Amino acid sequence: MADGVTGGLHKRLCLAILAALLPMLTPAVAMAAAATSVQAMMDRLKPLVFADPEGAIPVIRQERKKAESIPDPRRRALAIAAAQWLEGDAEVRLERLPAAATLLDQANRAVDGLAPRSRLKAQILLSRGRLNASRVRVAAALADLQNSFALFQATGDARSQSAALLNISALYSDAKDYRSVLRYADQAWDIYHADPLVALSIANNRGNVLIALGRLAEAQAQFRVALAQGRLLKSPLIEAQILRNIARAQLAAGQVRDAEQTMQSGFMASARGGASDERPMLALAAQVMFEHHRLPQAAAMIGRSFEGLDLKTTSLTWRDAHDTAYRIYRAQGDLPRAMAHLEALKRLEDQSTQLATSTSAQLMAARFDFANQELRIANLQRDEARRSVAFERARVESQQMLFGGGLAAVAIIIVLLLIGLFTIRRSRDKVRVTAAELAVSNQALGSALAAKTEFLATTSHEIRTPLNGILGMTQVMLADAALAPDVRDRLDVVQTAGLTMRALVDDILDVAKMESGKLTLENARFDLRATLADAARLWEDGAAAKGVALRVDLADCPQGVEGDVARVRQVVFNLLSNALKFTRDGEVALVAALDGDRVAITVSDTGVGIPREKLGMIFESFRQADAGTTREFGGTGLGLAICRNLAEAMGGGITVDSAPNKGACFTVTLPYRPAADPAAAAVVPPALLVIERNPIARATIRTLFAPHLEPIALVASTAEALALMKDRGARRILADEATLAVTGELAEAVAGLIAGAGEGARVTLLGTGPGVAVAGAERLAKPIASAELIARILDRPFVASVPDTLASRAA
Amino acid sequence: MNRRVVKDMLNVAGVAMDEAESAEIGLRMLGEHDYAMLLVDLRMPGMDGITAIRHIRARADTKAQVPVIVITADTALDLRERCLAAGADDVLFKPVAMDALFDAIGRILARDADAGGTLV
Repeated sequence: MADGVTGGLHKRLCLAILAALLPMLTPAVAMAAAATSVQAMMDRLKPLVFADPEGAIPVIRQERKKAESIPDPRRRALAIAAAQWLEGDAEVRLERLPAAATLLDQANRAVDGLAPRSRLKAQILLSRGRLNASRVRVAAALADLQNSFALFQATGDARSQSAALLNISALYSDAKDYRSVLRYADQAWDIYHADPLVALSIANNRGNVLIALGRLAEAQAQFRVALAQGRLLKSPLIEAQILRNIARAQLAAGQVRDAEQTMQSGFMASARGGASDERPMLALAAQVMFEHHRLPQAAAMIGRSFEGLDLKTTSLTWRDAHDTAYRIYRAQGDLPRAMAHLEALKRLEDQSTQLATSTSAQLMAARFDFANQELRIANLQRDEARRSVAFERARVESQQMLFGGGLAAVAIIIVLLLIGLFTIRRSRDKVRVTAAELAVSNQALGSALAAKTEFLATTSHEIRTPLNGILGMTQVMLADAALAPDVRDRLDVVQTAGLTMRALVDDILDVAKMESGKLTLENARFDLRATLADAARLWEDGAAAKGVALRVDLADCPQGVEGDVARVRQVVFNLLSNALKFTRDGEVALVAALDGDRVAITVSDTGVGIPREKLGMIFESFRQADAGTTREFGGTGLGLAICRNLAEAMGGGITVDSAPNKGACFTVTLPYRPAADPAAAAVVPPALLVIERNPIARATIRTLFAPHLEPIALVASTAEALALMKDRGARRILADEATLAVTGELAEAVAGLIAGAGEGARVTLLGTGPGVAVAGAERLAKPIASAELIARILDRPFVASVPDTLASRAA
Repeated sequence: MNRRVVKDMLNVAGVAMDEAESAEIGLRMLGEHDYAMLLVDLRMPGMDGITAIRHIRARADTKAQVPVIVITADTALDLRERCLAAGADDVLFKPVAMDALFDAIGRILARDADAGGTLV
């Protein structure tokens, strides 16, 4: 029994220890010779980040200030990026993930432009891999760590290669895929183990996994290797930690006496090191006493080891101790205490299963193996449900018993508890088997990832090519002004369908970009309020058709901001699309407001809502809350994953609040980066209005004048020009003579334009050949050099130089 | 099919286009005629688009500077950079919106001082 319950529990411990040792593993970074001062800074600060991340941050920021005054721009940028990486790495260690993400992304972008194959880049990827692992974004973590490994390989840094591999093995440890953990740990050992700290980490890690696999003799051998290395380091605390691991392995193997001796050495080492916290060691000692059937001593020790801890919030490292406590109290007949520890055990077990389920799912997704993934998740979840049922039954019965008393009841409850525990053990074994089935080799995973990328690229290519035909020809036909209205309506349907399909292929491409860390963001000034209003307007018809009210409140939304307008639009568009999709009646609301230094954009609905337990899952790729929703509502399940990735890439985040049938409320927060309010384009008269029926000529003229005049408006006919000027006039008009002549007399058209433009406006005609003078307009003859055209429109002197005949070319 | 689409789109803007079924044929036609611009697909039978662009840019005569727009359904993440590095002036991804095609051509015409002739 003891082994059954505890057997699977140990591997969490190995993670905790790994986390403690890994920081020390990451080496000081050697940069290219050109950046020696950068290297010196990193060498100096890296150990500080390991030892005291919080304390390191102000120091790093000071260094960054200094870096900003480096005269050489390349070195300055590198030094700033290095500082951003160090600070980001410190934030990862402090578990402040959004801040870490922003810093590491900034550093990453900078390095991509300067030194994309450098060790700094590799270090950034390693830190980001750990960040993504903490966020349980496994595919991204795996990609980062593998890329970092490859870069370290290219730069010949064996020690860091080893660190990258150990991080990958930790990822598999989360998925309870122990064979892969071992494989990566073995690789790490083969590549580098000259440094005692590295050797110790690898051996210790292997030992922990071997305990989880029940290979106890091998586990002890690994721990002995680790112990030998640990002694080289002359750190009694590390020694004590490893001795504790050896004792665990011995206890699991039933070697109680050996364990006892090991424990004694452990206590001594721990005393030499001045250990502040002896509680983990005490818990293990309690287990030894229990195995010796010395119940009172065991109870006293386990009591002391949980002193000052809230049983409802203990971390995964305490799982073994809970198990020991449960067994001791149960043997003592102290059922309330036994139950409290059993409950803690169950809570930690659930946490670990959840993590394993999610991590496995993502590793599977990374291998593009959806059918199997669903099946295996179902298995994991079924086991969990079974365990919960048995546990609940035991709990209810035990409460009855506590009130009712009686020997028979005691017998029954013990049987029930045994059943419960047996079920736990069985499901544990099953989870282990399932997890073992998930094992994949390094090459298999690597080639599977490549296959996935290849698959996405090929599928995308094969869809885009025919789609180009459909959308292209539809546009060509729609460009025909003489099209019959009913045919136009039908073509609009084809076009809408085609555009929807394009959005889907683009979504898949976006996910691929995000997973491989290749997403890039633009940075420009834009009008946030107008952008949001436009995004909402696109859904007006859809909402009206469903009978759903669309409420938009942007009164407190800032206008001029800096950022990536297309990505902001994409996020809001996706959220609105989702909200409408899942709302049958009631209201969908878009509200945006400034909230301190952030902008909060909220999309809420009165739709079907999301069950609480599914809330954590909806932001994962290819997942909807319920497979049934795919059938009812359609969609790929990519939209929300994209929203979250984009929001985080922009330095913000996304949260959701929902309950079934209570609607859902998604809130995106983005850092507020104010910019000058954009000129309200809707009311300002255009500085230049271009009337030209040829679309290529329009694009040419716009490109020519964009550096000189703003805003520029372009239209294809006299009627469009008059409609546009109705509200705001125009300061300057450049019209193609042939375009004006399409719909009537030239003189008449010009007179109309002058009247529409308002006072002080000037009209310039562009025509072929000599032409005739028209009242109120000056005339330029094509072909005309672009420099001359610009000079004439801007009223600048023009000196003819090289012949330049392009402005008229496409017309 | 896709050549026909581009040709019809260009026709909307009154621009004529010659078609070539492969890069080899296209390169020969470039030698025989004057074109204002080339539109090049990446996946073609025989020589691929990027190699074709390198051939064009390696020419000894002025035709080495003819503007080239790549039109492709490939979405490999670094494709745009690879095309630009090979000497392309712009890259459009399928499905190509008509406006995007016209904009790209218009931008290049505005940039280059004296582009002339018909378009391929």
